[in-house]
Amino acid sequence: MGRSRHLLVAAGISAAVLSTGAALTYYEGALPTTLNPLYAAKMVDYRAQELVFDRLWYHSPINNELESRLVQSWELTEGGKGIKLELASGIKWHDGKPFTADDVCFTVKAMLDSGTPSPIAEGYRDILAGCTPESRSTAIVHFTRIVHNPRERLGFSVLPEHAFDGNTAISPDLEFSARPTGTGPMKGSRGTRGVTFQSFANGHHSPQVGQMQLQESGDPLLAIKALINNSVQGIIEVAPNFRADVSASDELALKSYDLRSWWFVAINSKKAPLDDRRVRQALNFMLDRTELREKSIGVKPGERNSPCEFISGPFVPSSPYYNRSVPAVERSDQGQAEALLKEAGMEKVGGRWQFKGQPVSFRMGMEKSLDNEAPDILSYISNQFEAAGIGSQVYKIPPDNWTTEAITGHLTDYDLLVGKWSFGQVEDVNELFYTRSRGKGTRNIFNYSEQEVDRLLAQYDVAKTDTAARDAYHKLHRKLAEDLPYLFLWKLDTKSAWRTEVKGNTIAPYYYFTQFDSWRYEG
Amino acid sequence: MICPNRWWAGLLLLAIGCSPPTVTSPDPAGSSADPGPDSVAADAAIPGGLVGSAWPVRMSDDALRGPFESHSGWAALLMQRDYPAALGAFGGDAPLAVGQARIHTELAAAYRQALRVGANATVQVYGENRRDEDPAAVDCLLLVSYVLLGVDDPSADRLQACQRSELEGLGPHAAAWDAWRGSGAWPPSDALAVTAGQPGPPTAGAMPDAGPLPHWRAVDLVEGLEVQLASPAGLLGLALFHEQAARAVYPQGEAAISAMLAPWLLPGEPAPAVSDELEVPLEFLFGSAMLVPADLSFMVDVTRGSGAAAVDTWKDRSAFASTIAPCVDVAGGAVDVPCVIENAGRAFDQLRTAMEIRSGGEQGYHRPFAELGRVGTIRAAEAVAEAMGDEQAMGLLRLNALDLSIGTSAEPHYLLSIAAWDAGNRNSSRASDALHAQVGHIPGVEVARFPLDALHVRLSRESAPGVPMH
Repeated sequence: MGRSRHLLVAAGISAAVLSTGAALTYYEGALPTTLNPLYAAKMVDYRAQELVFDRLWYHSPINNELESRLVQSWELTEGGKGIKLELASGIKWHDGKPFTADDVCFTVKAMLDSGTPSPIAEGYRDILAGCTPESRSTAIVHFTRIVHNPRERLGFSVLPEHAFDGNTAISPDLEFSARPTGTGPMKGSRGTRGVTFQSFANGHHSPQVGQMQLQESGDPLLAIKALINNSVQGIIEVAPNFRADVSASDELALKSYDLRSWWFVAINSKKAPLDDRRVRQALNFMLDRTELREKSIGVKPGERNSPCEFISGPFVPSSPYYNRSVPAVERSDQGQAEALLKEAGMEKVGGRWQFKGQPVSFRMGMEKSLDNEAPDILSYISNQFEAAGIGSQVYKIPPDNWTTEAITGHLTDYDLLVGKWSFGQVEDVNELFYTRSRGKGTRNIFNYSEQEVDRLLAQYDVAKTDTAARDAYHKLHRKLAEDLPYLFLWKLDTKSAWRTEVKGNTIAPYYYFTQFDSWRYEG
Repeated sequence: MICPNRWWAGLLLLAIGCSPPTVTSPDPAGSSADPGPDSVAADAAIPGGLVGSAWPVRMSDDALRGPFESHSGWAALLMQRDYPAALGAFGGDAPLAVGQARIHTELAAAYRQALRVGANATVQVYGENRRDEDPAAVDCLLLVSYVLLGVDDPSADRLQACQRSELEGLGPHAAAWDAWRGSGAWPPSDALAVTAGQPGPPTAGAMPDAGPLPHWRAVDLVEGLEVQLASPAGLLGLALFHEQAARAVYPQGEAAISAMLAPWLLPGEPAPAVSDELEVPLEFLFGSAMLVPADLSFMVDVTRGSGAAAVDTWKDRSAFASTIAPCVDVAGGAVDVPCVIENAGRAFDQLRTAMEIRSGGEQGYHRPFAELGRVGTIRAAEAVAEAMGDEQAMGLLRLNALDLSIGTSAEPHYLLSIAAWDAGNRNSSRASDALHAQVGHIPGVEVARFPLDALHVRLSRESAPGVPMH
């Protein structure tokens, strides 16, 4: 053991005893909005739910094999339009009741019930046709069509029928969202200051961590200090600025978290003068992303192996959906910006842009927790606009409000909103850009609507071949880079930091705690 | 116990024959007589004598390290794994041929791993996940991929199916690789002669790309849209180019080059003999994830020789073997992962302590250098687990090594080997990210992107529905 390690561990032990006892505590940028898997809107929701629930099938974070803790065996039926599941025995819900085929079928029916206003359920309605419990341990899930690799499609968390009294119309705001009953390794309870998890030994789970606390982190520097002092044992998302500190510590380990995330500034294209595409394009040229990235994330110009790479459309650059022929704007070009603004009828008076005789000023917001990953990003963006002659007022939006108001299209009094979207294997962006109507565009922040974009999204939806799907998204990328409902900023890698007393902490791509049974805390 | 007088005497001898920026090896076998400090003996994972021989400890001497530090080629290689810049910096500087050979060797390893990425992705997308839309041309690429991976093709009629493709040159390409299968000839010159994107004759300091891409443009059988195709075999020519360039520029290092490449060879390639007395210049180890020359021999033995039994054979000579030996149950066929992680951490501490003693205090480079030793140890255990068929342990060790493979420890050939594993496991997201990260440093790896992109699109369209999360 290194010498400096002795000192830090000694300091850490006392802190741990005083603040956390034997429980493992970790920081998230925000608290989960809900523990009900049907209503996950934030990655923190998914991560917390992964501890409390079991998904029917999941991918092993070690070798990516498709595995199930709930299903013992399966076979295709109905010529491939159904799958018969023989459930594992001895599994109990957290309230002690047995897990049965009725629960699997209840979950399928709840997702198919139009009274369940869940975007996640909506995604399954195209594939799932129903479910029939054949016995307590056997269920047949019916598909709307023959699908390749049907088990891959069954990645949903299973809900307990008895917790909803069999009512398949599930509302997002039930008590269940705060104190759910699952079959996962931990029983979870959401309070106002955090989520408490208590281990629950089960036929299919043997968690080695007895208690765990999810807390909301504040200032990222203080969060790192708390980690070093052993007041908390993990931080899910460590800002790139602090990663070197983590790497340089003997007590901390930086862990890869595979998540495809990209950042943006959504533009309210319903409001003048932003309803003019030339104004949006001017803003795109005003932003100096290289400077923003350097100041907020700490990436020097020309630095190789950066965790942060500029984007020109709604995908990460490593994705096949990313159209690599559309260049990203890396540096500002005030000349082009000015020309576009003038073309749009704006004039510059005393260094300030005016529209119809009034100084232009934007109301800008950002989900508060993003400050943890890209400190002061909102201020830096605002400063760049100010320097270019556009005023702004900035507001940090509490995460819950972001979920309930921003992504539901209700923050229309804002002009610009800075945000981040995260994806797993599926990089479907249709919900972000479809015209909001009839169950589509459920995450369209400013209710953007453009006919050609809708056409391309529909093309992707109905694509018969991979090539057609990819072509549709390449065209979408190009179209969005021109029309700019978003200013696309960058993709940013995600890294976690855990104290080295936390062992066996394999992190699953996207879902994070899938392999939680192997986690140990030797603090 | 450290022997500063002997160490400094050794350095004086070195100084006589070496003036910066020319670098030569002080002692090919390492200063094995220089034991580690007593202070680490109780916690030792590596025997004391071996600690002193490890390149991070040897390089903790300013005089020995100085010429490397002041050379932009080494800085570009170690700090950023920027191969084009590093090769450019070494170019035309004959005394630095070893550095150039080292870069060419790493590139030769990297291109082999990129080939595996492409071949695995091809098998997964067009073999395991074949769809009605796929053109006949994919049969040709499947055939070639199975051959390159040394895997039996499940279809006996593959070549016949391939011949239905009318794409120019694709049929002969597949036929040539089919003919090479099992011939034992190396290199597969006839097959490479009909493989697109082959570089010219090996030239030290050059870094050719993969030529025009895609190699072929087919149309899908459902909608008639363009499908872009590339043969992973195109990457073998680039791998051989760099291997031959390394051997040409530094012929004295023949054995060291072979040993360094051994873990990364493709099925069908002749493996080097395991050497008891491998001579490895310091430049070949410096900044690598190998600590002492015997670690190279140990890795050759594990991956191309006696497998897990090599741990016992090499535990007194190889830092890796000695560190992981307590964690390996050869008879039981298992590797104890927590034990490996713990022991690799102890080896890391040992190296740092020994470096501090050598340097007379803590220096900024100590941690990253020692980290390479830790990563290398875990990777060695991973190779042992693989040789034993302990896939769970292998996977866990691989993930642990991946977490530590940042900054100086991020060796592209290793990261690409993980991408190849991921492509074979249908983990297309991580594989794509890893490949994308290398495209700027090793442009030819772009070839592997074609099948990997196809795999990712196919898997993403067959996954459970997902919605964007914030």
